[in-house]
Amino acid sequence: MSVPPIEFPILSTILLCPVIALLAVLLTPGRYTTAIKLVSLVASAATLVLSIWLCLAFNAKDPSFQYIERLDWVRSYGIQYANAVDGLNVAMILLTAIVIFCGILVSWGVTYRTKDFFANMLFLVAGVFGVFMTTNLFFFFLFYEVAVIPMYLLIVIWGSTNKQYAAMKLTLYLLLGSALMFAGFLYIYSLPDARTFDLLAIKQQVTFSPMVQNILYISLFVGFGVLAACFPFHVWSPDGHVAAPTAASMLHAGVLMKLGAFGILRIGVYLFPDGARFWAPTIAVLALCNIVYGAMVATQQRDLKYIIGYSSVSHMGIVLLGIATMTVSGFNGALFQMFSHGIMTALFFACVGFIYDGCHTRMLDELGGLSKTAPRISAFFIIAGLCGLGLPGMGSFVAELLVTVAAIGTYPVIGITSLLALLVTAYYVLSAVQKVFYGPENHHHKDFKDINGFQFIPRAVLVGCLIFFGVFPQIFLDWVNASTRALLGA
Amino acid sequence: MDLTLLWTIQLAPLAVFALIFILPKNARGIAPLLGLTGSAAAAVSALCFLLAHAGKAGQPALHYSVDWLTIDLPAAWPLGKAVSGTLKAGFLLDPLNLLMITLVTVISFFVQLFSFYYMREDESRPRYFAYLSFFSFAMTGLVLASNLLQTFMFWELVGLASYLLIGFWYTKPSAAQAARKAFVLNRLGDLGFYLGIVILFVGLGTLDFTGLGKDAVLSALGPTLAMAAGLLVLTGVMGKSAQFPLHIWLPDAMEGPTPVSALIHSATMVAAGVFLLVRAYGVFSASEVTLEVILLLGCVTGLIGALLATRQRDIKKILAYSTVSQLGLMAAGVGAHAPQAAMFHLTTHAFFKSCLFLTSGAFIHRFHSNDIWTIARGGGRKDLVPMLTLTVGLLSLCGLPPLSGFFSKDLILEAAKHHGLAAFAACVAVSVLTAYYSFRLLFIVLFARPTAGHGHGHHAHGHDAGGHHEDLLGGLSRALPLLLLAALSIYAGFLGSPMTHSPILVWLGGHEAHFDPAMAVKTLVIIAVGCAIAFALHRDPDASEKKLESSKGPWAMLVDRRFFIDDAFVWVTKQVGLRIASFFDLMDRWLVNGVLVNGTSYRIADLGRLAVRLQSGSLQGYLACGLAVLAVTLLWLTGGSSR
Amino acid sequence: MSATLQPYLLISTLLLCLGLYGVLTRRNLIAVLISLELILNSASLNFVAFGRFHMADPSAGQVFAIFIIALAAAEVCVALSLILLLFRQRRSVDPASMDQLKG
Repeated sequence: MSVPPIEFPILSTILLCPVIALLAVLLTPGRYTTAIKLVSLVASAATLVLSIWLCLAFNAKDPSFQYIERLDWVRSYGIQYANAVDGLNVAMILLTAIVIFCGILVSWGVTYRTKDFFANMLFLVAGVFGVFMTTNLFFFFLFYEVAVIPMYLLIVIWGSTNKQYAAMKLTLYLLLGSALMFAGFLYIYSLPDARTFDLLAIKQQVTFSPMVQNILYISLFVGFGVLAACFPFHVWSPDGHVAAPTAASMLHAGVLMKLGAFGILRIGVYLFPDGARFWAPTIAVLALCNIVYGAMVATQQRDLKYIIGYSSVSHMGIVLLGIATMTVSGFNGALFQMFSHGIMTALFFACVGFIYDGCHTRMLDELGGLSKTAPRISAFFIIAGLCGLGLPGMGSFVAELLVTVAAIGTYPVIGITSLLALLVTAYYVLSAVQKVFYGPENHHHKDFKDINGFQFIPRAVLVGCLIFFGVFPQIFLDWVNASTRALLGA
Repeated sequence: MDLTLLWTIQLAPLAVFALIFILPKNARGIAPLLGLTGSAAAAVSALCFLLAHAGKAGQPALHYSVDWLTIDLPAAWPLGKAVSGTLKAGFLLDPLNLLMITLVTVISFFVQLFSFYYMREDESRPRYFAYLSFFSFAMTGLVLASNLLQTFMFWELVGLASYLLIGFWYTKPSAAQAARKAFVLNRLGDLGFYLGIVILFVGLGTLDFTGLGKDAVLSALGPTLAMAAGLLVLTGVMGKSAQFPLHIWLPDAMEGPTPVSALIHSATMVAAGVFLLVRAYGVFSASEVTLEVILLLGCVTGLIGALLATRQRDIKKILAYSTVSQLGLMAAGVGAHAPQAAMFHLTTHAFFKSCLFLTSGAFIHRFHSNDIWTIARGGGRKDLVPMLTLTVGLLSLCGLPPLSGFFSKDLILEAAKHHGLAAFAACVAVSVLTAYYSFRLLFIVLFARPTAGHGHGHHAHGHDAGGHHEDLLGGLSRALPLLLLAALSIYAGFLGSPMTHSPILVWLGGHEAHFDPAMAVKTLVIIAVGCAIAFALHRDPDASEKKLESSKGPWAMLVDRRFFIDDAFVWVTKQVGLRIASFFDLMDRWLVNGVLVNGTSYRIADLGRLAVRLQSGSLQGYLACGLAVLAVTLLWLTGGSSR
Repeated sequence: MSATLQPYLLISTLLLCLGLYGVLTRRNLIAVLISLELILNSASLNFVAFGRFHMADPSAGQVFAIFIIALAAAEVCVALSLILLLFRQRRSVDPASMDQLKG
């Protein structure tokens, strides 16, 4: 790309956009809802533009960190506000920006405690951006917590269907994960060579013995794996998806779950490559469970959101499987899947949320013939579904291809078994489509109004991303390839 | 120039697809015109190509590709060697797919033209033409693809188009069901295809068709893996080309509009499997076992399809099973080392079968019924144009010389005969049965006595039965495609006939066919036998209808239940697949969520409840505790000091 | 009159035990209060006795005894008024019934 390097601290700017908007929203009286929404929208649009710019200006050939920003916070403890970007997180930043932009647009119709809602969303996004950007373990933990807490509020206040239970479960799970992770961080800090939270410094200064690598990697993996819905720590995620309001589901499934997988790569594999190799076969088995088991369970669900929830479990399994292969293609595929699944599942929830708002039900048996009533929203859902079942031309196909090729090459039995999910996914996605959108029109939902021009935008943006990266996958791979290669030392 | 033409072929339909959806609501009326324009552009481009390149055998194929995706693997199974390859995207044009692309675009154009008439009363016409254009896009992509992965991608996309079009009248539950069935069964086949592609890629490091020759595959993979790869890719073919036992989706696919059946489910998409057999012949011919399996599958499919066709009363079902059976013959041709013959039969079959389907569409649209007796009694034989094309199509189907089916089927029979007695016997049996059901259909339509007040049978179709008010345009778009396709199905045979030195076969890289009088006589005998049986059984259609309804023997039941293959699939899905799924679901609810997750939280709550007991609220209890602790502490302190 | 500390301590221990027993077991807060007085008295007795036998100036112990008497009076005042209030609220002075603070 011929875009010149960016001269100002772009990462902090991206991070500050939601923070400033958050302050502005908090200072705006709650009755000016339009102003609040507009501020949020402008901020998210700004992050989107900036992240696209970052992606273009980012030097993909260089595997090391770029646009490094450092600011001492507590120097004696080695706590630094430090941001940097490389192949692993550049796409994740873009993903977050896309999802929050669409999420804000989708939540335009929120009327209950509007101000609090948008404030929470912005707070959450600031946390997510922070996790993706930071290179300091302390700030990683800090931002992570910042992302979890608003999620709890979003679910409890604006959620539906057993929301107290789901929110509590989600929060406890995520805090459990973060506790494990923080314990690991503190242990690393306590090592005589380390005495710092700086990721790069740790990588350079500390050599971990194999035993320590194995123990630390698995404890970090479990900590992050909880967030990535790794089997058997996955049950919080369908419940959480179901209970959360539309935009929160989009962020949650679209971005928050990716934090876990990202953490595994950024911290786990980066610091403990031997530990990662040691545990890779075990993780591959767990990932296979995710993939096949999640898909199987999804066939049994009656609630549209639960189907998507379990499909997320299944698709995150592909990410984990890609990580478990410990190959360049596997990592590339995992990152690709994180990106495309993020977009896809955001699209899913943007559609289901709309249907739920209109029909007041998400049960398959109570819906039917929606293609007739609301052709546009149905089309969007079906596109998301097709992406989910890995249709060529969509992002997921490429991601699954990369991971599957790597997995079959590395663990033939697991890789081949994971192909089963392609069939099962097709089955449950098409069954859901058949029940909800096909068949005779359901007269209860006669006055369900299809999306109008404005609501069209976020969903069209998501579809555009899916198809663009599905047709031109090499653009994405060029971003990540150098870094994954460096990560594996290949 | 060539590239521009190729891009036109590929992208014109896609542009139409996108355009129709972008159009504002009130302008969607021009959708049929757009569709027609798109397909005409593609067809004209393809014909230009054909005219420019036809007959020039040995001319280097056009090959254009760009990098699409890089894959790096260290020490990959099954060969244990590192793979570092680039998957390409591009066009590969050689005689084989030049022929196929012409076929696809031309038939696509005819079908769009016919749909002009057929779908004129349907209110979701724009959607229909959009889907049809999308299919054209995907199908041309499949045909022009330069490598196996790209083929696979478009292979899935045509599956999507087929899914959308089978379920076009999605408010009908049966259509929605059939659409899902088609997609899932194709997926089942594609799993193997996918794995096969992975193995080939790991082994060869490329998926380009130019690099998939027999020797290359054999030397890279070794005989066993080559066989495995061939068989795996074959499963994809089984799904797409409706080979036993994955053929069961095709008859159900007749839920779609009839022009769709003509285009997708007989002439082009289902033939894509056979096309792939020929395209990647190197992969299959690398192992003799694979070819034997293809032959066997082809014969079984041919027989099953033909047998099932004999007892149908829905005209589209007859044609659908006939398609299954003919696809089986084509596969058998490939299995019998005669890919060129298979490809030739594919070509002729595409013409006469799409002609037949469109004819049936013309009947169905006029008589509002799929039932052959209803059509016959409604006065089907008085409808001259379709009657003519029906006759031509059916005679061509059973292979009456000099119609096109004769030449192509003959070549396959010959190849089968060359290969072995069993295969030959199976192919002859298929031919006899084909002749029988063709003449059965013909006789019933011809001999039935018209009754008054026809056409009020069940409306088998979702579209609005608005009567037939045929203006010039409607009449033209009804008759023209039929007549042209009928003409083509007569003409196409000569491309491969010995009289004209079979240019098509030579062009495709095969040998010139030689005229074998004995074979021709055999064919005639086969047709005569089939015709005679059909005449004996069906010269009185009323009686034969009663007989069909009343026959209850085991054979009738076996055929009516479609040899229980559907039931077997349903059984496996319900009793095995969904059982496992519901077991997992229960496990998730009770074990993972119940015992592990909620269990943990309940145990922690239990601990809390234990601690709660300490806090009884009784003053005197607290006091006693406090005193006791005090006493113990004092004792401990004094004891310590005294020692 | 044998002048040893022992009997005083014995009686004081007896008083303490009686008082503790009363505090821990009585079902009436008034009785609990009376038992509390017994404990205080045992303490007073100890002060006086120790002052008498071990201190040069016995008045220190006696000062404490008087202090305790004053303290006991004040304590009874507060406690009785609390008990009275409790009785007005709950129509009962049984300490076992006052368990609202349990978990």
